Amino acid sequence: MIGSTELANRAPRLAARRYFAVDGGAGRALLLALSGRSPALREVASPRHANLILVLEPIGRSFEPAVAEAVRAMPRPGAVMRVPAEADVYETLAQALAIHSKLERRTEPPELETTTVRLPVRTEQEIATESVVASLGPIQPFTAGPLRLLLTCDGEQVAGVHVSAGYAHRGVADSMTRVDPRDAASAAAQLDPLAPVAGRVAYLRALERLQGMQPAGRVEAAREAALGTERVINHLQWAARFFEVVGTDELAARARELALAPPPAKAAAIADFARRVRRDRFLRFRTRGIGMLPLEQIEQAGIADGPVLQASRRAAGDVESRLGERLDVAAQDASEAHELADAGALSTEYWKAPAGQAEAEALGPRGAIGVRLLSDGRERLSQVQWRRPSERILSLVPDLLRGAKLADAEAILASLDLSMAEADG
Amino acid sequence: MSAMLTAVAVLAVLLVAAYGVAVTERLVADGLRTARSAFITPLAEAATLLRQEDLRPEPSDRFLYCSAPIIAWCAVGLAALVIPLGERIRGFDPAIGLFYFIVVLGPFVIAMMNAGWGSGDKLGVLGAFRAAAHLLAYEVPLGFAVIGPAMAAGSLSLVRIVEGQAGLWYVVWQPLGLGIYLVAALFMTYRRPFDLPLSGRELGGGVLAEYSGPRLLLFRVALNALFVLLMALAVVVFFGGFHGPFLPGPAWMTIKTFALVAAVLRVTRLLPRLRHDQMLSLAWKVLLPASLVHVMVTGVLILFVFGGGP
Repeated sequence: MIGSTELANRAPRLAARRYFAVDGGAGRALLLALSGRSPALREVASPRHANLILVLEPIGRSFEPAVAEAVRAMPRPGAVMRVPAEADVYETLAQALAIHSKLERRTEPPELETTTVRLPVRTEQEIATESVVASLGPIQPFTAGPLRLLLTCDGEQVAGVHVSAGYAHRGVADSMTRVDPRDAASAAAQLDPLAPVAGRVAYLRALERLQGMQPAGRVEAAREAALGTERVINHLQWAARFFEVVGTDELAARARELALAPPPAKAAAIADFARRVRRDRFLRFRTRGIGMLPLEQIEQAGIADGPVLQASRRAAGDVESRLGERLDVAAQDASEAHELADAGALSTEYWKAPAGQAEAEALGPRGAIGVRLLSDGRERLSQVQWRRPSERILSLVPDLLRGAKLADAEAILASLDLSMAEADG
Repeated sequence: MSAMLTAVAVLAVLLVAAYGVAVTERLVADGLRTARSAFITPLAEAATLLRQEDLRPEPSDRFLYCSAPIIAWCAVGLAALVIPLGERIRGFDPAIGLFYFIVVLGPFVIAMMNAGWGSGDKLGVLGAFRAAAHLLAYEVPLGFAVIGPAMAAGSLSLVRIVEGQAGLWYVVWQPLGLGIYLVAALFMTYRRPFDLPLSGRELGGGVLAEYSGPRLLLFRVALNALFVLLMALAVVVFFGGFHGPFLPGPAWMTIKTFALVAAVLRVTRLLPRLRHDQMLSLAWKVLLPASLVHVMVTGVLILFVFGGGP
């Protein structure tokens, strides 16, 4: 494996790579690992500034036209590199720096979906203004995965929001009914590629309940430890991305370091980091009072747990409180979670699916992921229904952004930590 | 002929200085462990951009779109003429050099607005208006911040201002002026934490989103050149300019300018990106009153401490 220092020192002989990242929903960890890894490879905000389009699979069929449009917008010579989200960061980096820019021919413009947005009814005003519909996404860095928002703006004020999701839909629930219960566990882990343990554990618990079985205490303890570790890593990865979005490079670099640090070193360091973030006056100035979510509104959306709810319950429910809540949860989970000693905790001895139905959940980074299994006693499950926290948080976005400033949209969206692969199912 | 040579020399110095800013930025961000990359990467980027297609979007306004980087370079090039690098090393030294510098840089905002508006995109227009807000933010505080050194020197000539600091740098007794000046300079150069028009991701990349290839390179270099020019002016009016022991004037100008560049870049890494209305609030509710205090205090010090004259 190539070390980072060696790679950085090799970079001067290679071309400068500016990549535009297209994340299908599972690539946050890889993007984070690439970020700041080499000065010869940097992410840019527009495909026009890029000479490499980095496509992080999986990419859904409905997302392909947007990817094609980004490829078309990139100036030539340029290159496109498709990588699986679980690719090794050093190999990816080496390939990205060495890839030959060979994309010469520009393809025909792809057929993009059209959406009609109804402009708000204008009341009499002293100054006549025109509304503008700004399209945000589907390729944008504020969510993990593709999401398109059509923002009706009156100047810098967002007057209306039309949400267009589904780009990361993979039909996980349906696919689980087409395989046997053992293989369905792998599919369950893919529901949220950023939190595979939560999806898998929720499924295993439901399957065990379907059979009326209770796993051993040590297995459940190991599962809770694994879930805690996953939450810690997710929150730190999210924090690094959030700080990149709001522009605090030092905090982003520190969050990245913590996300990559080994578990025993984490707990005290995360607590220190959380205190440092809370004391940062400039960050408070930027994030306080924006993206307010009242507790009643969250509860009405059916959200019963997770950092978004807790931030509104314990604090003001703004971007600042959601940031603080996630770091506090990460610090707490890091101090409680231990290394997973028993790899069998993510498996079960009970793979049958007798007739009946059962529900279970597992606390993931964005809230509890719940699953209901229905079986008619045959070899495969007859129906699988997922309760996805990101889907419920997504339903809050229109009300959240309406009335906010356009310049705050990025921080507000990023503060929700939406996993679009999970939201789209 | 000598005017042509002067112009070429000024452009060459600006290009080298802009490269220096890019290197300093990399060193501040990544540290000395990747020092070799910091020196090579900006050149590699420039070579990459020069080789790339220079795309112009179909709905763009040709004149506005194409003129934007040229206007930016004209503003920067003309302003650089009055910065004294040494005892006799400068383009020219008008009696109103300081005033000339600030006025001539004004059209840089026009360049940014043209870039956004001319791209023919709604989001570009929004970015253009954000860029215009920067003019409202920086102009008055910047002007008031440099009035202090002009009062102390009794002249708007940059060379006279440098000579007036032979005994004591103005930064020692006008630190408030320096602080205001540096914040206003960040407004003017669209640098973090006031870089929303350039990096507003909700606008798909800001006013320069549709630029590519050589035109994008022109803009990037112009922005770096503008930043180093403003830091050089800070050195001239607050840090004694080219004066210093043992080394020649240009060496001191270079050392002081890049030390200030590095310090400013280091601090800005700690700050989140502010909204343009927050920037305007900062400019009009904090910087402007502070700059009035700065002028008053400077006047009192000149009258009662420094004997009432330069």
